[in-house]
Amino acid sequence: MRRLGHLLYGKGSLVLLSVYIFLSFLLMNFNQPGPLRGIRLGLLAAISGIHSLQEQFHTLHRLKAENEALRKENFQLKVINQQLGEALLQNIRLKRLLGLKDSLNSHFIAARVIGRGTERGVQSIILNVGTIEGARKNCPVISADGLVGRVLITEPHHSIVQILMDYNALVSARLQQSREVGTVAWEGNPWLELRYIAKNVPVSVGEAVVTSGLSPFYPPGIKIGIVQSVTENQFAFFKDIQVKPAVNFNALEEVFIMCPDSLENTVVIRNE
Amino acid sequence: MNNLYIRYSMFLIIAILLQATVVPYFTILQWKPDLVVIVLTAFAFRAGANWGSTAGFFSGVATDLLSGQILGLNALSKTIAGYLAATSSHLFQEQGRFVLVLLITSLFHDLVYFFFLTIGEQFSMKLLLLQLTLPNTFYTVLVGASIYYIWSRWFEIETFSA
Repeated sequence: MRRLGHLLYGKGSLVLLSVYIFLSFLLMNFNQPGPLRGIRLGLLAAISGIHSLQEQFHTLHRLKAENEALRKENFQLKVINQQLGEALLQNIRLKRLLGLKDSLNSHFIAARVIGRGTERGVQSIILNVGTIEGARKNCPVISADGLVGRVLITEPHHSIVQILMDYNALVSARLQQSREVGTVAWEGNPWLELRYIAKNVPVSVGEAVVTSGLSPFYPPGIKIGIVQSVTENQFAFFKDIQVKPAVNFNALEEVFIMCPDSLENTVVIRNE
Repeated sequence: MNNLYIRYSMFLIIAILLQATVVPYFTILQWKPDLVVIVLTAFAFRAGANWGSTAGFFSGVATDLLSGQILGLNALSKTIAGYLAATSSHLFQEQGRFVLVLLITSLFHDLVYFFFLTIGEQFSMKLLLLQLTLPNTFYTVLVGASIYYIWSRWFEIETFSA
């Protein structure tokens, strides 16, 4: 009995299999029967929806990656842009320096300011050129705006320059219009003092002060600054003249050392 | 309705949808695994020949409807596959039984499928076996065995045991 049941069960499954096989052939013969077309359309719509989701996911993923890449590129371009801006400004400054060099008809060593001096009691800057490049002690140092100072100490590859805003820096100067000669000095203020200009000398605010050429260190005609204010003290012999320096000492980047012993018609540039 | 049937019905539907959407991305040359056959084998393995052939027929019809192929072709091959999976499960010992059953099921499924697919064209046994049936069968068994291994490891249960 049990064996018969097993046989029938087995035959039942065979019958079911035959029915399904028959139905499959029937489907193959009558391809695309009406009711199944609707089911197919429904299923295809579902698949299409899934494909659409997949596509959106891929698009999102691609956009995210693209966004990331663009952000990186944007950052790099910003950095390059900043560097180019710096290069442009440097180019303008150097052109002005070269123009100044031509007008002074002298020999120059181009130098870059690489630091502030650490010498106590001396206001100085450090340049990236030294004796090897031709720098000599006491050579005047100028920028595109005017006189900076003079070389105080030289080393093979570095020089220390005493700037005008130092207690010990004294420069023989001349008022550009009246041609009166005085001495420019610094007394710890944001401005320079022009000393020894007599009270009877007319001095106007805004007048340029240049090197006189009487000093053994500085050639004539280099701009030191402009007259900022003129006051008279009844008990003094001379006028109190404040001079605004032509050079912004806090923003110095490139300068020229004017050395008589430097190579003729040669500008040595050392970029470090 | 037993929980097993509901669960496997869901698995079959998911397998059919994945077969139509994701599996095409894993095509190597012209060969791709058949997820429906893998799930069908696992189901028939546990539910028996009647349910195996029934599930095979309906999942085959659904696959046909989605694939745009000749309607009934997958229904026929999967009906036979479901039946074979259930009846051949008793032929092997416990160890690695599912993979062997899957191998037989997939082989017959692909034979039937590709035979009827290529019928009417210039028939070549070599083409049928070497280029169509065996690579697809091998790919399906590889994927099926991997799923079986991962599944049984993760869940630490004999999921496909009869």
